[in-house]
Amino acid sequence: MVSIDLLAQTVSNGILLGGIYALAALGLSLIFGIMDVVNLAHGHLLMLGGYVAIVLFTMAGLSPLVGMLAAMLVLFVIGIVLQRALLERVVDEGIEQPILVLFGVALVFQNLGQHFLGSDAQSTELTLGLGGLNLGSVLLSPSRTVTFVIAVLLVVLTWLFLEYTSTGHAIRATSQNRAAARYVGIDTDRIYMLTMGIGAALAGAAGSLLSMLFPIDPYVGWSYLLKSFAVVVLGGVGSIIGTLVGGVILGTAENVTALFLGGSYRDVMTFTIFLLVLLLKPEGLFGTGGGGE
Amino acid sequence: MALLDVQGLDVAYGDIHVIWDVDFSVDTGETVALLGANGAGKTTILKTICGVLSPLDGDVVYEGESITGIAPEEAVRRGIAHVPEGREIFADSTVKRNLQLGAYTNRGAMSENLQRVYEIFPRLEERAGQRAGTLSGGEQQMLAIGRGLMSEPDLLLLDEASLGLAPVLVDDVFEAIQRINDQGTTVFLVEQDIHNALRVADRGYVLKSGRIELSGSAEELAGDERVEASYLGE
Repeated sequence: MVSIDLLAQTVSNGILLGGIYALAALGLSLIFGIMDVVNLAHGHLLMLGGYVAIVLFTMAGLSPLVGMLAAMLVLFVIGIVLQRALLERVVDEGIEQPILVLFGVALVFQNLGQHFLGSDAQSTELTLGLGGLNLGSVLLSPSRTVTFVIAVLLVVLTWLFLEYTSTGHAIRATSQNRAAARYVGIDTDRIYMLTMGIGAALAGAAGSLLSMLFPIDPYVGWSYLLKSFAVVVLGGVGSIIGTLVGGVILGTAENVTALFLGGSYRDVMTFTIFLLVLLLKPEGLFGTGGGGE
Repeated sequence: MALLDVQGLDVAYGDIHVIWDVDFSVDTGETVALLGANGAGKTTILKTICGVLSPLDGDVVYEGESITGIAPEEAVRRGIAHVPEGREIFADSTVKRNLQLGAYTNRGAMSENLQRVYEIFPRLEERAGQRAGTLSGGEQQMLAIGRGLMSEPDLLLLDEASLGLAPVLVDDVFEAIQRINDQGTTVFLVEQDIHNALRVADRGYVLKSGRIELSGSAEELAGDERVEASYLGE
């Protein structure tokens, strides 16, 4: 029998983890919503972001919070390079070609990671000199709390950027109607680069945050891709609130499943949620059913 | 001096040559109509002027400078606004946001330009907070034209502004075009509606199978049987 305290602890850990899932999924959702590109390399971009923080932590002793900023910068550049060098050539050719290209990119990243960084899982450690927060019998550990707050902050900042800046408006206009965006003078090639850059940077941030909680190895990409997909499907494409709620639901469901059935059933839960949403509410909890063109 | 001068324009889609040696010009302050049947190549010419298509050969000169093959966003910055066929609005955004996006390259005088558009199309002010996709066809056309005006263009390119509208709305749209021109914007419009187009235009060109077949003042063309004949084949 599981005690109520343990269940409460598990749920709160799941909620905190869900914030990072939301951050990871936001990048995937943006890239799909704006460019109609299914970024199969999203989990691998996340993995690279984790490694940026790990390398800076193990070799230079830098805090993973600094590592996260570095990871966002590096991944922003990687996103732009991916768009310029590869995706630009195929993005208007339908949905299949970018998928194939990005699948290839994912494999390349995975093998590069394996070659240069080794197959052993590594992680970072967040030292803050803070105690955890006690809520009754539930302990919110410092690293989980801080990573959650940062993840949610980044999601909110992204939302503010899209909602209140003229570049954000241009991005949303491009997502609705690329032809019309060009007619009003928006450089849509630049918008696509920026979108890939931001999407990759968000994945990188999520990877760095995850490295403070779990070990990262070059093979984690597929698993986080799947989780990000589940969150996007659950929350609905194009809804930032949906992404946050979806992340929290997935994080909680995974942790509760692990508590009752064992840790190896986590991904089963992810898949189950994925399939149930597609069956029962394919537009997601907050989705608009696609929207735009 | 001509505001827009197009010389020897040839345009092809891949191997299919659609525009042959087309010359025309538009002077500052004029309204000029490009007439022709469906498929004559009118839209292709507009898209080439504003940089969406690049010509095989020929030159597009705007304000005395060649802008051939310019990027569309650069054309907007230089003062050319293109209101595309089929309206192409931002359906999920509000009417006001659509208009604001029209001022993307020219945000300085946003509120004056918004006021000017609302004066020409009061209906848009009434619907400012409404999602653009919920507007009627005529209102969407007004929105597309209004959005084009938000960049404060010197030259407004209108592609089939009246297509698919109820007759009463067609009159409204042409009246608005007249007003826009009276306020100092040069207008180049592409139309299948010969009668209305020649009513608002100073001059016109008739395009047939990718070649300029006739040109002249609006009165001359309105009285010329060959104009209508060019729509009906031989």
